[in-house]
Amino acid sequence: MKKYISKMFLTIVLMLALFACTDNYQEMNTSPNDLTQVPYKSLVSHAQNSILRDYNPILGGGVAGWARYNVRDVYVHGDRYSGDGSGTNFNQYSGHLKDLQVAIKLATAANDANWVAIAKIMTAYAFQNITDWYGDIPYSEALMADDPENPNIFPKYDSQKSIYTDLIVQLKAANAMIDTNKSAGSADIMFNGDMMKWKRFANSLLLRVYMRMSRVEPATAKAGIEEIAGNSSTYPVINSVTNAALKYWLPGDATYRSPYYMIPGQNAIQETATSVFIVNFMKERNDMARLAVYAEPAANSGEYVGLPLGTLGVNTPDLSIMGIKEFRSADSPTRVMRYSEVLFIYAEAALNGWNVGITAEAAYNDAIKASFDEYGLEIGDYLSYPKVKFNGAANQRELIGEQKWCALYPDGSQGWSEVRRTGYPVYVATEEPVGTLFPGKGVIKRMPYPYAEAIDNPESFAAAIAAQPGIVDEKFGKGVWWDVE
Amino acid sequence: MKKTLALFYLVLVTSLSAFSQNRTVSGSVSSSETGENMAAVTISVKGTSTGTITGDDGKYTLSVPATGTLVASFIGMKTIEVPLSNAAVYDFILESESLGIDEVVVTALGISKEKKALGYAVQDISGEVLKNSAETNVINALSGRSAGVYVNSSNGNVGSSSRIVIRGNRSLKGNNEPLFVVDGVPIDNTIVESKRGNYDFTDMGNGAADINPSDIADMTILKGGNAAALYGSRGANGVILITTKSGSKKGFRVEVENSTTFSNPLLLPDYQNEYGQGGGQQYWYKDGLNGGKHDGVDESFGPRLDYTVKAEDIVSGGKLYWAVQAGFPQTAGQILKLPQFDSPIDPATGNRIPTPWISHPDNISGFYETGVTSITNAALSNGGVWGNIRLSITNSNQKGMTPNTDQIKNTFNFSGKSNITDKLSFEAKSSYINVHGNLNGSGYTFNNVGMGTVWSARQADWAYMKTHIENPDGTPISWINRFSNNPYWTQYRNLNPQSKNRFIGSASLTYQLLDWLSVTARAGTDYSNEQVELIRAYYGINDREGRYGVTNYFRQETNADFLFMAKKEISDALTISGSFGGNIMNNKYNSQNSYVDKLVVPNVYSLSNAKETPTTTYYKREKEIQSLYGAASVAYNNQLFLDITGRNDWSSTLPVNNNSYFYPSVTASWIFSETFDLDPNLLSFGKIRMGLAQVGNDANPYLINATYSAATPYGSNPLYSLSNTLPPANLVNELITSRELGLDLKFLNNRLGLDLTVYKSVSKNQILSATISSTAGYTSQTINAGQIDNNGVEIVLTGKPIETKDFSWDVTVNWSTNKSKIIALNGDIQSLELYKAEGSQITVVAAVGGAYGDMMGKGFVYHENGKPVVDANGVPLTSDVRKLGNIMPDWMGGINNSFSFKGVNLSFLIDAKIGGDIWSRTNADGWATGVLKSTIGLNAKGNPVRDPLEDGGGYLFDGVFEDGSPNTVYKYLDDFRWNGFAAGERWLYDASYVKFREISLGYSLPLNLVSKAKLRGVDLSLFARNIAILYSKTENFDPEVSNRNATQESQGSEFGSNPSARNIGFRVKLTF
Repeated sequence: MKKYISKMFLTIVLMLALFACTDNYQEMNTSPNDLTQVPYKSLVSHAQNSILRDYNPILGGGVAGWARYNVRDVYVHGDRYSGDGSGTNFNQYSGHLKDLQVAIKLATAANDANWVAIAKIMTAYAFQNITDWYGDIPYSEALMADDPENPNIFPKYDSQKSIYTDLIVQLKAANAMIDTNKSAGSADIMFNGDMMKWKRFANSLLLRVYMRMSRVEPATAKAGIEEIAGNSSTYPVINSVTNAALKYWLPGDATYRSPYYMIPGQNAIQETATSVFIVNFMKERNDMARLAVYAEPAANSGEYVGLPLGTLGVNTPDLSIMGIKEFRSADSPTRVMRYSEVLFIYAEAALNGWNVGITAEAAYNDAIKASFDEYGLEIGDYLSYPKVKFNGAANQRELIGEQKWCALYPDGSQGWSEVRRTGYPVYVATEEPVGTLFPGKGVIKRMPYPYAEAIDNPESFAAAIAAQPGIVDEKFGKGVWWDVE
Repeated sequence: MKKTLALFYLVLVTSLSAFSQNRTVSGSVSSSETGENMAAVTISVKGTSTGTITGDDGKYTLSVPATGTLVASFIGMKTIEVPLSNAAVYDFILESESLGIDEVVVTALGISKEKKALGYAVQDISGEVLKNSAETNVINALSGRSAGVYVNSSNGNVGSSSRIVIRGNRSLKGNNEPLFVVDGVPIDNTIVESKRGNYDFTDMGNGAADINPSDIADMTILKGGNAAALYGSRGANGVILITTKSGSKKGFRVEVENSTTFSNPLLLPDYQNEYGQGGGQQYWYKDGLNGGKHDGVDESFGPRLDYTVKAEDIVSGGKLYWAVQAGFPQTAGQILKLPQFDSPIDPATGNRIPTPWISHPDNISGFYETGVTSITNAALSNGGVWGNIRLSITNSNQKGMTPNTDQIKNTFNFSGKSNITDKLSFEAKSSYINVHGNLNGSGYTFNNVGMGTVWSARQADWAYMKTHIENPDGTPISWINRFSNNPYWTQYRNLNPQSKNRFIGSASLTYQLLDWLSVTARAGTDYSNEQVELIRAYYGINDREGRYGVTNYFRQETNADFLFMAKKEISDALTISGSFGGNIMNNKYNSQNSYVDKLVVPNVYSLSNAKETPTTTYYKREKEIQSLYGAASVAYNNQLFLDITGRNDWSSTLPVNNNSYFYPSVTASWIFSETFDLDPNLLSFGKIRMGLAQVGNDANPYLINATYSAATPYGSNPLYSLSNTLPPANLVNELITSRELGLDLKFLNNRLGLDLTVYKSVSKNQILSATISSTAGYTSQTINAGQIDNNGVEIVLTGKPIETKDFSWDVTVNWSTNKSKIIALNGDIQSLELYKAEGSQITVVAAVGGAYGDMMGKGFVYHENGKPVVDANGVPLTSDVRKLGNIMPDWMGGINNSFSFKGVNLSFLIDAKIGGDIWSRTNADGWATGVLKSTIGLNAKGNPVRDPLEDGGGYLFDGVFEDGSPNTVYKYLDDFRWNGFAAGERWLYDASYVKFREISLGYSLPLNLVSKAKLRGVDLSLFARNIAILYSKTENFDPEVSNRNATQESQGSEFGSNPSARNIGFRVKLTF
């Protein structure tokens, strides 16, 4: 018995001893679920998808409403400016901006200049959108939590002016390093590796950057725009609707359908009512061809009927909603930057007296034509309508502002920024929403900073607020740096 | 380590020795109170495994060695020891134990100790108490029972989770719940949730809820670091030791028991019944999609309900002229009639025929049904010298308060012990648990009707919807087709089925090596496989083409350990005991989720019924900890006790160079009443105790490396993104140091008792994921963070004001307070975001100098006269983000009274949690949607607040202008309700409450009556639980109910949880 028991215990002990080995702990603690190394192209592809979805919101309830493109018909408190810092975040930084930063490092190490350029252009595009929304944001010290030399989890906020200055540097550098003889391949889910398209996009984006700062830094803007316009071999820009920066999706893949795809039968429950201002704006100019693309007629009346921002209680079937074919289909492209915008920039530059090799009127007319052309429409006699005609009675600067705003539909981010910059259309730039929750405080001037910043980055945030006096209730009062209209 | 272990064993194993019995003694045992002989009393030879139990006649015979001590012991009675002499007969008369001074409690590693010898606070709760609470989730039964134990139940849904925290939150972001150990095997207590995006969330309960209360013999709560030091990392938050029932000691026995409980909502929001759906006091229905007037608006700012039309209302310019204009003529003197979703359709026109616009005050209260829980248990047991065996089968059938929700739990419990030889015994315990049912949605989801109640129009007739769920084509019949399903359609068509198989088992061998030394080897496992399905029917608001998802969870934790235990009496005065053991813990977790977004054939729920390629994700995780530990105790003269423990862990989750860590503990106690000859009529017992302990803690797996996670490939292109958590530079183990000082006093012959504990714990180097500004490139970083201190006091007062032969009255009062303080975080971090509360208006933080769980958000701006300041438009100003409250209570307490009169027992429990705050989305949303009573009434002008300003209506916020003069600007409530001013502070409530928790009345039939029916016992009881809120400062919700489920992130906010249940039931137990 005694022997038997001894053996039994010995067996248990040996079994325990067999397991008692910690040599495999490092392997055990390596995640079997995620990778620790990935190709940099896959990071950029991911970022491209994320960026395109983040900065082109075209539905009501945010920038698209503030630009008076699309508005909501119920839960209108968002359109009435109820949004506050509890509903915003800076997750673009930890998301696509961080992925792009890592990709730039890896692509640089691999001497893959075209991919460095793509990542830099996407980064600049994202940062311009973010700073245009908020004003001063972390930039020079951003994304440095894991920096080997200067790790920083409390990045300071940079002035919008300094960010714009660097965006120019970055975009020019990206343009210079592109080798158009080499394709970036299909991992570039935006332009399928076409580096000429990247060059055109980068330089057109530069034009957008210059023009946006043109009221506060006219000399820089003038020099920059003239340099691009005067040297199309170094700075090719988008010069036709076919090489515009449009992103086409995979309509067959539920994950990568056009972001605003909606099942056709469900229109009535979607919050995409067309704003009354753009409907009437187009009607007043007999712009029925583009209106038919922008919006669907109301289900009940068959007429184009818009809804004023902030209005509750009009029956949806009595309203127009956003056009299906170009914007809400599974294969609708996302319009990142269009040929018409480049021409509108030239028109405005020429009107400023800058030398862009084209007159303001010619550029203005071409821009509107390009907008029609984008949808395969004939312009007819649109350019001669009194409220459109460049050499008519109307203020030419206002005409450019209005038509550019109209052509940018439904890109809420760009539409809202342009309205804030130019002050046109006047109604959009000045009229409070119906039933605004902040009567007397005017139209929204900026996105409210995330409340999380007051907790997670308190000193930098406080300094940023101090550096931008005049903000009222998080979103009114003083606009961003370039917003001086 | 491998070699050391093996050697150690060899040395001990080879030192085995034997000894033998040489004669037989016999005798009988009787009770001093009744004088009757007692069965099932254990008679053993001290320090050996030699023993027997008395038979039904109270007699025993036992083979004994030449010398030694004979011990007679019985639970609830004082143990008697007699030295063996030449006599052959030893009779014992046992006295009952008074108030637990000589109580034996199970402590760490299953070592039984006399409570009086302990240097730390433990609380023992009997299985009867747990069972009597009639809670299916054993955690809920602890509410108010124990000092320093914080219980948070989530809601009244069947199978919902609960959370328990002992002595405050030591970990900032980690798990603060104690370790559950069942029969020596740690078990999983994870809270499982099923979720998809923001639409669906289902609380699938917590692991410990699988433990069947009917099988629990005893539960011991080890509160502090000392008590738990031997359990290592996971004991840092305390340990709950559960001992399941073993076989009887006196032969074959059968018990059959049933309890039936009826549940109803304790508290529903206070709804208004004056205004129906719509906006601007207008509404008529066409299609529920905004085709009519505001029929796509799910808010109750429509026309007055039950309103008798006046002649002037319906002429041009009249209040109801809009209805006439819309084609719905009204008759003066009659109730307003409007087309509604349930109005009949005119076959000629296809339009709805207007029906009276009337209130339905019971639309929501009528939705909740009486929940019924029926628990039936049958247990067979047998026992004798050979060992014992028990087999128990329990069926728990729970039908929820919300329609079509249920949970059925079948538990098979086996326990067996075989005394192979007089020195070797084998013991096995196992439970197989099968759970299945259909659970209710919870949290901010359209599939949680509880949330829907805050978003449901007040005129909607739910009784109609109950009988008219869907059209012949399967589309739901709802009061609104734009935002919400018919609540009954949701309950009967959108299902959250759960099915779980779990096995918890352990087997152990114990060998008495020497009369002073034994060794136990044990292996145990907790294995579960759970399947959670998500069934969403065609035509639902968010799933027009249906949806099906299935998640399989696999969890397994295996523990293998050995333990040597030695006890030696050096002299009459000095006893030394010690133990040494080792453990390997291996924990595995896998989950696999697959779903299809769109189904081809409606209402067939299978992954192959997919319009699009099903999406599958798979996650797996493994960790292991190896440990060696030891303990030594010295007892001197039965009055001085010293305990020392030490443990070293090697964890797989820490960097290889840092993965070994050691932590010790020491406790001492002195029973001074033994030292000084005190008058027991005054001070009958007095003990002072103190302890110091450290507990180390490791990390979660896979924190060390940065990883990239994959997204769905774009065509043939892979998509990856960097994880949002920054890995740590150099991770080390956490270390919690706790100190404890206690005083146990009994007065007046044990009639009055005081147990006082003061403690302090210091947690350093906490491993946590700290939220950082995402502008730094990550949303969080894993760090070893600073220091959090917890200080607390626990008081337990016991008293027996009346004790006569037939009647006794016992009172137990417990009170505790815990204050946490953040001493330091990491580097420059001054404030750490823990999580965002429901609605994102409140961020719960730990800030240096503050307490755990401070609530940050935007509040009012106050004038020096104390009133909130409003701007010139009468809108309150909103402050910057500042501290508004804290989620944790200031103190908790409970009073339990029990009365006993000739076999009748009555007891009731009142408990309180005072302080702490909770943010209420029910009130925030309910104010905006206009369903709550707070949105109606008269303003200071005596007119309805909802009326237009020109009619003298309007809402006036009670504030002052900047100059201090009262606000005079009335706001049109229909527009103003969405203004989110000061939303953090505005909807924050003091979460204090006092609850009438429990009452029970029990009666045991007299034995002479019972025996006529050939039974051994008949016990009957009536009980009620969660009976009433005696005090609270909240409106429209039970402050005890948290949001979604019972996880940490759900603390401090509530929304749309189904109400907690008031339970009333009865129990019958028959013993054969």
